[in-house]
Amino acid sequence: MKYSVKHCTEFDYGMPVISAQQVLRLKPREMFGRQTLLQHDINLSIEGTEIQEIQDYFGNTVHEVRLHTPHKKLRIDSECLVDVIRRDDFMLDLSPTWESVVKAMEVPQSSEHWQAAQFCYPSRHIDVDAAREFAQQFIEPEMPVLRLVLAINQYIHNEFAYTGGVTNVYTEVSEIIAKRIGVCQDFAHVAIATIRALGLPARYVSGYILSQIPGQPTLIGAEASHAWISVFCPKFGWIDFDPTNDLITSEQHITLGWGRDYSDIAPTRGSILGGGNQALKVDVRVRPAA
Amino acid sequence: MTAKASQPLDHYQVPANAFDELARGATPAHWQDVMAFFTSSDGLGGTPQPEHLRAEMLVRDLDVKRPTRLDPLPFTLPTNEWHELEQGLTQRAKLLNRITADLYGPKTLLNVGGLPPALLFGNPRFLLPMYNYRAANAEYLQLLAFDIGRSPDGQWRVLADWTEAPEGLGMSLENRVLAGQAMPELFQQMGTQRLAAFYRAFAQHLADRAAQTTPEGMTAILSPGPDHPNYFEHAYLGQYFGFPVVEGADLTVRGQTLQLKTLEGLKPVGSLLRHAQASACDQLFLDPGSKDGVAGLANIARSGQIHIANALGSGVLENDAFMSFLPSLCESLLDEELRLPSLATWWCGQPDEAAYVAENASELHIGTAFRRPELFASTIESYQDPNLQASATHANTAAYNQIGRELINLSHSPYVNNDGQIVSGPTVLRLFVCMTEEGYRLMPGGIARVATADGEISKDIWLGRDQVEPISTPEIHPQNLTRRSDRDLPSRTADDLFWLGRYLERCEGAVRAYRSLFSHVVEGSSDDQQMLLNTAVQLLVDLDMLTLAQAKQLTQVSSTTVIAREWWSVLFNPESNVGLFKLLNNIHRLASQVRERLSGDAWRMFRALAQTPAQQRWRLGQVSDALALMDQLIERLSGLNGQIQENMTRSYGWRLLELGRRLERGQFGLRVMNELVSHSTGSTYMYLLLDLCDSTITYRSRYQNVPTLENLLHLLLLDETNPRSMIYQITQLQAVMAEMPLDQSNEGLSESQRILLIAYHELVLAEPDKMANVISRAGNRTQLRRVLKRLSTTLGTLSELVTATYFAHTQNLPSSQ
Repeated sequence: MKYSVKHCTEFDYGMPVISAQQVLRLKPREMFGRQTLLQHDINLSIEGTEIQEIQDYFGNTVHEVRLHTPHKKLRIDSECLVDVIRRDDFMLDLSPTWESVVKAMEVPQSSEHWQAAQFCYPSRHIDVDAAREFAQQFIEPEMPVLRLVLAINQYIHNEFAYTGGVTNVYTEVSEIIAKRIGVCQDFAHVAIATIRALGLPARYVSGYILSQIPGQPTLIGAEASHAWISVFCPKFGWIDFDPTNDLITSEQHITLGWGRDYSDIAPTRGSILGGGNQALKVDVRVRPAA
Repeated sequence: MTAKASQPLDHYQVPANAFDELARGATPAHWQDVMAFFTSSDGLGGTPQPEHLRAEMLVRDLDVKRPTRLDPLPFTLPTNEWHELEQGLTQRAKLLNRITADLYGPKTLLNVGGLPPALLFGNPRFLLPMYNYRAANAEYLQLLAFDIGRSPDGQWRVLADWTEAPEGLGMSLENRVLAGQAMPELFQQMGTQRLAAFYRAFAQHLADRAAQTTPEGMTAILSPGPDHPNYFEHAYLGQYFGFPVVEGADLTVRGQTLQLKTLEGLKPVGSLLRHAQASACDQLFLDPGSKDGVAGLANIARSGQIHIANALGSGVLENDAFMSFLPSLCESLLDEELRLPSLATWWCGQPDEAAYVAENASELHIGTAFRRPELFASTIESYQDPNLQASATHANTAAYNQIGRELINLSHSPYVNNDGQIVSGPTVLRLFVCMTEEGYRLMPGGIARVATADGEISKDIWLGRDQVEPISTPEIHPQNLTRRSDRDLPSRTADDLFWLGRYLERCEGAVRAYRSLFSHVVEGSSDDQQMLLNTAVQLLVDLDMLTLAQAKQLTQVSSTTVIAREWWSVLFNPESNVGLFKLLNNIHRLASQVRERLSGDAWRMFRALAQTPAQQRWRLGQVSDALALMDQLIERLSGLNGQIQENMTRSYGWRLLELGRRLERGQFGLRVMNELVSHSTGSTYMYLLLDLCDSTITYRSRYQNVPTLENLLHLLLLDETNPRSMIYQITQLQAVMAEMPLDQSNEGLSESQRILLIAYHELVLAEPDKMANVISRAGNRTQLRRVLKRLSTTLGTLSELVTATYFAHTQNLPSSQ
């Protein structure tokens, strides 16, 4: 399924920004057999900007942008055409037991397992210790690992209230678990912390989601950046779950990139000199394309 | 030994289960010089004992927090042991560097070498953004510190490895200066190996790397700033090496290079001696919450555009978890046996070790495997006392973040206690290894830490002449290293110095206003009293030293005692956001931010100044005490100004202070004279103004009569010989601006020089009699008002020009700014 995405980010500053640096993670990844990037353009409203394209540790494309022109407004336009390939090459009940995955991660035997093993530990937004107790309720001996993840996914969807404006990027996992409230990013963080607390590998995925499919309910997370999780299972590779929408992703999710948590893959991160109060406006349009 | 000479050792106790560095009182050869001196009548054997050898006497008047105080009795070691330590620790440095290179490179130690994944991925100080970083010359660790201790069998063991941004290099240097000064004869007699060559070799190496990385690239010390507990070290090293001490905000990434914002514009930086935690160094690629990072630093570091000592991410090995892997890693990476054993540790990230720790918990010290970076984080007691366990195993903490380590009875070494007796206590040494052109070298000295009943103390380590092979670089004092011009003065420091100059002058003006106020209030007749009170209060409001509400309240009070009490509470209330207290705090804050630019004497005077109102002796609400306090403040301010004028080189630092001072003094004078525009001119009143401008004596000696307005205006505005006059300030500003960088225009005068020249000519041509006597119908001296107003505009514009040119660097931006 092909999509065209327009992602517009606008910064409005109370005072002139003297100089600014931004790190943008807005270019969708190429994923063999799952997603093809057909076209991508990125434009900044200010001329004379230094842009450098680099690959980060996880293989995501990062644009480092330096602005030395004073400005009070900055607009970043990212447009792309992406082909997402439906995924049905796995079966939950045929996935290995979660205990065997824990073992495989403790003593990795292949480079793929080594890659996965680094997603089993705490990271900036993932306080694994805070989810240790919470995680106990989901485990049963010999449970297929993807069944276990699905149970966590469903639990978060059913028991946590999707409410904007209550949490922010610094809200900790312990607080989200206690209050059972948050947005897609918080749900992803809770799910990841829970999965990692059991010794399993989970990563944070940043991207977009198509809101309207004829005949289906509207999904949460459209018209903005969306976030979900991906879990490694030795037999099938990385499988994506969306706790916000209680889904295993199929072809509505467009992947920008991934990392250990939000801080590795935030769509924009900046450091500015001057600027005073700032207002941020993000607008995302995802449309099916021919 | 005579009976008298043996006295200081009478209380020396040989430890029961530990190694005794003094060999059970038998005094081995390497201790003989030290002990002979300390037990002699020149040492502690005489009566009275020399005060400078008493432990507490060496605590210097340092404002900065030092982790431990210094014991006069140095620590020493025999030649053969020192050689073993040198070989063992340089080998360890090489090994740790190789491991770091692998972890940030191919990671073969994990894939092939069998290191468990949790050791790296569970380690919060492994920085992913530095992946595939290939350091120039494969140098990741340029400065390492090791804590070592001696077990009862006499074997030295490594207790802790410090690889992030080891602290203690500045403290060692300071200890050496203090101990060397206290006992110059002993120092000479032992032929104590000097540290200078070692520091020089390290500084030279950093400078060489800077030049290799970037043409003309300088070396700077990156510090988290004066709030950091070890800032004194950073400042001390900066001064010693002649490297600027900078914070994140001083640096900027332009193009693919790191630049220091200086008084002369942007200057390339080629290497950094990093004292800031790596994760805080870059808010874009590392910790987004960091407030003192350099945006983009990690990215240019990874691509080799800046050489950082130590490399970002070097803290990955600063933990106890790696220790048990070192013997096998040493064999596989260096093909050598690990020379110096570590403390035995059991990292719970492995099932067998976790089981061992659980079974033997009572005999081990159990703590966090991946510790936080802190100076002397482990107390000496924690190595030997089973009752000081950091924490028992937590069900809620991942096993890989727990570690058990053996307890060890550390060797005892002698120190001087508070009674002047030589006693002994358990000892840990901190030794330093640096990268030089000749590879890793062990510093011929270091810090010995001893646990005493009153807390930890530190000792300087002295090694005799025959004990150490001198480092082959010529012995040149590091201060003779080619010093960079102070044009590298960071813009932020320049800004601080400018404001320090302004605040010092503002403080003096304010204190004069208060003092006049108090004395006139006491002496003045009732009519004058109210008028004087109003004038002084108005001035203080103008100076931001009083709020309007406070001013209103104060001018309505009548009784002297009440006035004194009210004034007191406004001026010296620490809660108040105006007043003298706040000003003194600002001065102290700015002075501490530019501390490395100040002499030790100047710094002590700044401190004394800030502490003046806090002294116990002042009685609240007493007019006489208030006057004495003001006198003392004036004295201290004058002393400080004298210190700055007489002892500071005429560098940019001095010029900025001077610029700030002259601008402020000019503006203060204008405010005072503004009162004359509309006021009648009684003699009491004019004496008040003369007093405020510190020109009373000058006036009396020159005119010897009751003040007239004409004479007063001449003295305060036009007299080029009066250092308080307006024209004096203008000529000084002209002189300073002529020496500033970036102020030279190709086409004649720069803007600042132009406006100062106009002001100068206006003053020269001004006529005091007209200014005094041309009075409008509304009762205003219009000529005077015009002159004052124009001068005020000139000074305001100059201040803005200075800020834009030197501090904000808007010259790098298009002219639309």
